[in-house]
Amino acid sequence: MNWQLVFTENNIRRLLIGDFPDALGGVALTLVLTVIGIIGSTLLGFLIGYLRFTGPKPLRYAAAGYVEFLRNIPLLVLIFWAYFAPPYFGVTPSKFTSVLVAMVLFNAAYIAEVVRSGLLSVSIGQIEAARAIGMSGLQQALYVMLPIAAFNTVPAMTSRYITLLKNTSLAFLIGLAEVTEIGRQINNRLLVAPVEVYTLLLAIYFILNRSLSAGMRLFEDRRVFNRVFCFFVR
Amino acid sequence: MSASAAPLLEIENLNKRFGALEVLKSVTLSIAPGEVVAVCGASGSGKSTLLRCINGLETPDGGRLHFRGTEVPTTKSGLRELRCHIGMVFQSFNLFPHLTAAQNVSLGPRKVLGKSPAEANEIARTLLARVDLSDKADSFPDFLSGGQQQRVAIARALAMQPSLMLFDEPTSALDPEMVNEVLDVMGKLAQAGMTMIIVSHEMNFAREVADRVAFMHQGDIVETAAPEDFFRAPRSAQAQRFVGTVLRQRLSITGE
Repeated sequence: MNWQLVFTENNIRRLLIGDFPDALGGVALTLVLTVIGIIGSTLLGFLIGYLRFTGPKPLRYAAAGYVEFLRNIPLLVLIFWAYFAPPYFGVTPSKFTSVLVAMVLFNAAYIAEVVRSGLLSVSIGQIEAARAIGMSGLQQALYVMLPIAAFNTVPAMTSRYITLLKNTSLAFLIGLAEVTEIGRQINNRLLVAPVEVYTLLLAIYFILNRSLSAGMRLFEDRRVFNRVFCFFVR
Repeated sequence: MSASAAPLLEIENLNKRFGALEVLKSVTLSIAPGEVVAVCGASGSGKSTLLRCINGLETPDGGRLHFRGTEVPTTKSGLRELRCHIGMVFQSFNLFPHLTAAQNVSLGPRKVLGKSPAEANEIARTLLARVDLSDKADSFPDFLSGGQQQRVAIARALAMQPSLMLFDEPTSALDPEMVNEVLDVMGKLAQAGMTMIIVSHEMNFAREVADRVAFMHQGDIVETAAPEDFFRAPRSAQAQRFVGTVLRQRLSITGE
């Protein structure tokens, strides 16, 4: 075993932050992709899931079409497409932007379906109670239906977010220096320690994802969920 | 009830069908301010549908509704405005599970009536005290008993300062030992002068609290009478059968 070759100060620094301050990379870039990816795909997913559940007919069909198209293509191909296609339309996105856009679009389709299943779990009685105190359709959605749906789908969202984090590793295929790409570079340079390098990568992903799911677990407590997401009634 | 007061709610020839089924045939009923009307009748006689037509949860197919002298609107915004003045309490409580008891009560004042957070919170605390749940203000519905949940639901409806309260079998989903705590709250509300329409199988309660009983049979109000008269000497054959069945059940339960 050649662990001492892997655990050099330079390797560890590159795995954690890449070539920062020149270019952020490594675990830090993986986390940035994950956080922005989660926020973006969740917002978009909620919008599409809600529209598919109860939007006006044209929007409902559009939302259904979106979900069916995006979840039936591979993320990897979508990342390539988001990188190579925009120049044909006069836009040249960075690798970072391409990966992020592809991830948000792709994951929003899955999250939309999770949201829809959550909306199906809201009882008609709860919606009627909201109508009975004079709420508009938008108020019913924002203050009653979507929060109930969100709480009921925390476990499913956790799974989705874990997949999203793992999928950031696909970014290495267009050369974005997230942690997998850095690991690959280190391995190419060392040549004699592939098992050590990739074992270390596995450990890094495990720790990141385990932290993510432990954090999400907190929201399964009604009090925590209420404190963070029900600010509208405070 | 005084005959001279303008009615708070007037229901004229109300008709409602679900497909081929005519749930309400031609219901006419007038409710005076401050009046408490108990709506009785067998299951499927149209009691709940009648209540749900009053605040627009169901859209009637025919007839007219006048609330405080003006015809009930059919526009979305008109119905929203109407629902602010008509509170409703459901059989299955229907509390918002993601909100605390106090937030369940304050959500309407805050978002629909546009009150400030401080005002809405004050309304919630006051009303929870009124239904004897001050100590549960920060509890979530999951952690409340059925009776407590239903009292929160009553407070939630009252928070909109309604001039009419609709109760749709408010005690039917409760364990027997919790029925009274809810009926007590409703009794106090009636004493305080609230206008109420109550669909309930609690005949004793109807007898004590209601000013009038409306008896429904197969989509029509067959008879309205003072509770004493209705339970002692119902006029129609259907009401006689109904009262007979209810009394027999009570006797068999109490073993008298």
